[in-house]
Amino acid sequence: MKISCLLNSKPVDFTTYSDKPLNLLLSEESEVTSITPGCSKGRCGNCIVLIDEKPRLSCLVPAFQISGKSIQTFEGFAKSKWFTDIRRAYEKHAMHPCPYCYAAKSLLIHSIISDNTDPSPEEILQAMKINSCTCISEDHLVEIVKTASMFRRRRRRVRRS
Amino acid sequence: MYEGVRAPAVFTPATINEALDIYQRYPRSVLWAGGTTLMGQLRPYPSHDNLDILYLGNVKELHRISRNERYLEMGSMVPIQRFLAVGQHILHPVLSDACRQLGPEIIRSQSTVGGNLCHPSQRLNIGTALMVLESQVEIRDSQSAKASTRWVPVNRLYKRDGSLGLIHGEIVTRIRVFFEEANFQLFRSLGNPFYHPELAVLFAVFAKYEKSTISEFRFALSFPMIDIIRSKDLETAITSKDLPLSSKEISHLSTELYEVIRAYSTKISSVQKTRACRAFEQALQDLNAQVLMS
Repeated sequence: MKISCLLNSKPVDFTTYSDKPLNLLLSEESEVTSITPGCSKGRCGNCIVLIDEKPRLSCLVPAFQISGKSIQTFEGFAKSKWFTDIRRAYEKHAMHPCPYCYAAKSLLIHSIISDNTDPSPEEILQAMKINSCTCISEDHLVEIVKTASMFRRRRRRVRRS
Repeated sequence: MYEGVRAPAVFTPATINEALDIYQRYPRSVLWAGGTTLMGQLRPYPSHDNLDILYLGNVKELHRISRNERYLEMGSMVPIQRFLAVGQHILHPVLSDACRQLGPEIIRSQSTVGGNLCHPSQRLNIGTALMVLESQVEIRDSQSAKASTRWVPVNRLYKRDGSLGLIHGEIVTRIRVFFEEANFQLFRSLGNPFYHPELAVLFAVFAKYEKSTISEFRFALSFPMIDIIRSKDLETAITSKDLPLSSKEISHLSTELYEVIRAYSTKISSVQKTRACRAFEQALQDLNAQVLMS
């Protein structure tokens, strides 16, 4: 099956099995390296990508569903200004996720603070529950997301003024 | 690894009639809704079943949500997260809790109401909640010469042995939830029905009471790998009881429930039996507490 989509804002074509999971497709047939091998059953939450700006578990998305869609992996996201807010939040708390879940956690935090400018601790923990890696405690995770959302609010305020 | 694997053909109909037509011509194709359980559990890649895929995500009619003063109607391909967002002020708490307890938002925005209801081997959250709400589903048939439509209660969607009661060629297209006032509603998921279905229990209650007397009591228990159980006898026994219920009454009703579960199937594990009885007792205690607080 031939599939055309946007990968990190660049048009790409794949000729692949129609039901191949997106995580395998990206790691085997593109240069994406940020998707770490995980459970492939939607349990570990380490294969998150943004599809049309929405976070999705790439192991649960078959190739045929991405036709015509825009996919952003951590490689593309890390080059954007939005990642700066999250990186600064990690640095401020001197706490970084482990290499295994760094990409997934960063994309998740981005999706939380994009939808909600002031998320509550419950909302943060509920949204972050999808990633099962426990390298950062819940309390610290809440702090990091709160700080990232503050940086994001400031950035928006500056842009508006 | 990929030797002998055939790439399945994917059909992406845009209308229900087109979907039914394709389903009639390719009856062995897999109906694909959100795909969360298909990708994760039922059809891990590479799949050797050589079945084609009938993807229903592009059928606009199956994404509609409408309401009138009597009921809320939704297409079977409505993502659970959208259903929650649209119906947050009108949904029965038992149904919205069932949706929320399905998993995090990422999973909820991919999985669909129809997919959850029509899992081939497991009886999950939405089916359990819809059972106590006495909701209906619309089934469309592609096999007859003229596509037929029928509305059936949710409990008729499953056979006596708990398996999915759809005949081949049938598709669930719409779900209708009636608006009905209730004083007490509750949904509990004990254990994870996706990871440990042999241990999990899903429990839903819908009750009405007037002047401290129970006027209606409905409950459903789902043992995911087996069936959803509703005991009309026990419901009748609870109806017309005065609130608050005494500890002796609760204990007696719990023992009766244990007997009902034991008689229903030998496949229900002892963990599930204990969880079901504890959830039932807890629900009655919560009902007592609510009456005493009011």
